[in-house]
Amino acid sequence: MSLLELDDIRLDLPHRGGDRALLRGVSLRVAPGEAIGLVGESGSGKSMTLRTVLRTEPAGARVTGRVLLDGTDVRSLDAAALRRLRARDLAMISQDPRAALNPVLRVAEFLVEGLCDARGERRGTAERRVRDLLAQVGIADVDRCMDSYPHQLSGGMLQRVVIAAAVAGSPRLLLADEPTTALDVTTQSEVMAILDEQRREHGMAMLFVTHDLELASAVCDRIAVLYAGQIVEIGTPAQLHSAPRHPYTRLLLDSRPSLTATTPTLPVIPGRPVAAYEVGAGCAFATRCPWIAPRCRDGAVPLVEGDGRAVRCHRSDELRGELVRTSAPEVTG
Amino acid sequence: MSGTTGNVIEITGLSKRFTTGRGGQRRSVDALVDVTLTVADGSCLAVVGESGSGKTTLARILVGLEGADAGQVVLAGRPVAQRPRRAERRARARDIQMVFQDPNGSLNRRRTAGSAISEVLTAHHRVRGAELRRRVDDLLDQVGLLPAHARALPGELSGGQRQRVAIARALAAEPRVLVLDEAVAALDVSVQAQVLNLLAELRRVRRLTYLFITHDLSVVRQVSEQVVVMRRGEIIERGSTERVLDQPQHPYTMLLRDSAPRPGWRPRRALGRGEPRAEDMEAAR
Amino acid sequence: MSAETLTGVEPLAVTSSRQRRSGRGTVRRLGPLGVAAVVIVGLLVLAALLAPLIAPYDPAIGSVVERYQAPGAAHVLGTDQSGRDLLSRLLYGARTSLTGAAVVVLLAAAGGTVLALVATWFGGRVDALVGRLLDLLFAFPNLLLAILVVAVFGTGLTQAAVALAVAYVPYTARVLRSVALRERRLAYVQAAELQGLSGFVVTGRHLLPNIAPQILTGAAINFGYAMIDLAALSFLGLGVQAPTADWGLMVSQGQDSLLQGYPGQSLLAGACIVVAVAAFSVIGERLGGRRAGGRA
Repeated sequence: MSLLELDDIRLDLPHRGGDRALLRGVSLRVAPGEAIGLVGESGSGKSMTLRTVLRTEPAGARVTGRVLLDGTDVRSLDAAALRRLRARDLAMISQDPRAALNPVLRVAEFLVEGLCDARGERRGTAERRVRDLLAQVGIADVDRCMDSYPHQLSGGMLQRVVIAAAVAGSPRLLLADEPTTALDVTTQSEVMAILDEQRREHGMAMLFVTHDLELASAVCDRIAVLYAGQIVEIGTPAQLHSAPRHPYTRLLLDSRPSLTATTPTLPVIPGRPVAAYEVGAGCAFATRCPWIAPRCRDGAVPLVEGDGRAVRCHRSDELRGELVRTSAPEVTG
Repeated sequence: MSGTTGNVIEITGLSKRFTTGRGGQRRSVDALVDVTLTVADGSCLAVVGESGSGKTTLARILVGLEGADAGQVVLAGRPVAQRPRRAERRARARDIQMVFQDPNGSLNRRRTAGSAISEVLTAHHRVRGAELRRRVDDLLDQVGLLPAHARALPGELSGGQRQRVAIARALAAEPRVLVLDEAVAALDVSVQAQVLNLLAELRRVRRLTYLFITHDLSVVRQVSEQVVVMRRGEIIERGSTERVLDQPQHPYTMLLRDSAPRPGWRPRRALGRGEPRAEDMEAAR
Repeated sequence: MSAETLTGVEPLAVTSSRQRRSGRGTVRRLGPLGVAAVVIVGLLVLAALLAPLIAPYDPAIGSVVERYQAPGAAHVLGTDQSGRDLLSRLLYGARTSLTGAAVVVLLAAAGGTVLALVATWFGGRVDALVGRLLDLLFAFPNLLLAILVVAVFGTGLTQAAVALAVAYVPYTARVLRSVALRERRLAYVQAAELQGLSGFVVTGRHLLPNIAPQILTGAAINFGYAMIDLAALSFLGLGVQAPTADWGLMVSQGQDSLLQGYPGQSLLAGACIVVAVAAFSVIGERLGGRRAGGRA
């Protein structure tokens, strides 16, 4: 039984001169406690997918398809039920922690009152729990942190407070949208470690949106690679790294410079990432794909499952050998 | 000329302090503390650091957007003024140019890509009319764009294309040195690779010297021969890129390297559970 | 290997159907109410321009025998206490009222823009000095400042308009300074500065065009305020002097008639002011929302 099931999510946004598609049929299943990475470049629809789960898509957007959380269709809930769901089962961590915190409330007020309101806990119990949580997310001076206003804390500290707030309600699904993109690398490592640890301790499932395939590989059980509003490949980090089945996955992995080796020229994907609304008939990646065949240009390409993974490419079977990365280092997880 | 030393940039004892706030709230931050470095002609020096390391301040002083409090900068064999006047900046611009991070703000949204390039061309060379247009097309071609792109407004270009225009604009002054301040950080992975290749190609063909400011160690490995690691305004480690990345000496360099996501990498807490990190405590003070 | 294959040149993304300089975007931003406001302003300007041609009577000359005439065939809107045709006075009044407000707005926008750009460009001490100067001006209530100026330099439309413009400068300058400052920090301005281009060139070529929308919006919003303040000054007898036709003055002169049971003059002039002010406010608001360099 899946905790979360996305079934053919399509999203269109009105735009002058006709609607623009941002998502072109995203389907995904998340098991309880499973972490899934949504990885893609700009315009791939990774953040928008997350927003359809929370129902925070932009005003005027038309969404079709079903979002089932524990069998409940999130997209058909009324306002009160949606509020209950957001308070009880979902937690969100975004790129900017400052947006999640009320600037005129001290951290203590924000966290303690959040617990009291959402879960009806008594003040004393709530405060003890908050102290516990803050210590767990690596905040040394809990007293000083609780007494601080958001502007007095660094980005890394704030993101830890947001993580504490997110796990406080023990939600079943954590939605994380580039939670470390605005942080320095050393802070990113720290915050990701804490997020990963807290997620596992509380047995939460996670949808983790990022542009960084390596970062997602480190903390996710499976990774969905998105391109132009569709999932083009989904598999475990090890599967994707050693034997990608979609040309885009392979090229994305190759075009990132390595920390340990140099090449005279980096392999490149020609052109720029296309947006979902720019895609014509056929495979969305056809315009940039070096392995293109005539049949790639017409008709939609289905996402084909097999070997515990899935890929959206007509030629994935023929190219299987060619796409294997011989130089791919060992990937754990 | 730099012929005697082979260094196109020589920086000695550079210091800069910023003061913010007024009255009782007055605070000062040391952005640069006694920074000394040299960059060999035709090489690429990577300057690595996190926010607050002073790497951007170093770049801004070098190109003359900021003055230093103390120290000396020798550019192509000529000492440059501490508090640059306009004429001095103009002369310096022919030696050194800068490419900025933000692909959205790097071009005037009301003026075409071509006019951004011709503005710099006419500022430094006596060119006009057909000759000016030819030079603009030529520069666009060198960064992989077409003559038609000259008529495009920034809003009609992708992030990668805008950054290519920004590079063409910098090249228009025919400088010997390019300062690249996180110039590929905001680009998509696939576009970033294109621009990194372009920069490598331009360096080879035009024999340019790069000062490449970045937080990304993978990019450092790909583009540079030498690297300096900065933290809180100071250079804490320097050496050849291979040596610094493969056998870092300073604990902070090790931390930086261990924090960079890569295949097989796991995020980890620098100091284990519950221990304070200096940065966070400082921010909380 | 050519540079193209090496660096992966993108297909040309320049769209042929440009939205550049098209009026469509502006219309969409204005919305139906905004378009109506533009039409109203257009009609008012037309009325002011064509007043000598379309006004049935001389606005300054009346006859005592024709005082307080009700609207009718001879006088469409009736006459005032001196027997002057109200329609003609309203049409001519549009000239003074609109011109006065326009002068205030133009001067305030020019002064505010110059101060904002000077403060932004030089920064540091100059910025602080400009800031103090604006604080000082802020401390004076607009009308009080205007009354002081008029007390020193005498009454009249020019004096009142200049005085109000001075009072409006700090509002305009403060907002424009923050907009210009944000713009100045962008990389393209720094890239231009880096070339050793002069402050005039960089400011004129890059900063000014990019803050122009805010200048325009602020001016539209200020226009309404300026009409009200000018009317108030005329009402107090410090602005336009009789017998010149002016809406503010008409409201004031209609007071006595109002008490005698002839509310026409005050009501009509007042209605003109309200409609014009509302129209300008709607335009300003629709064009720029809160980012405008307007008063308040």
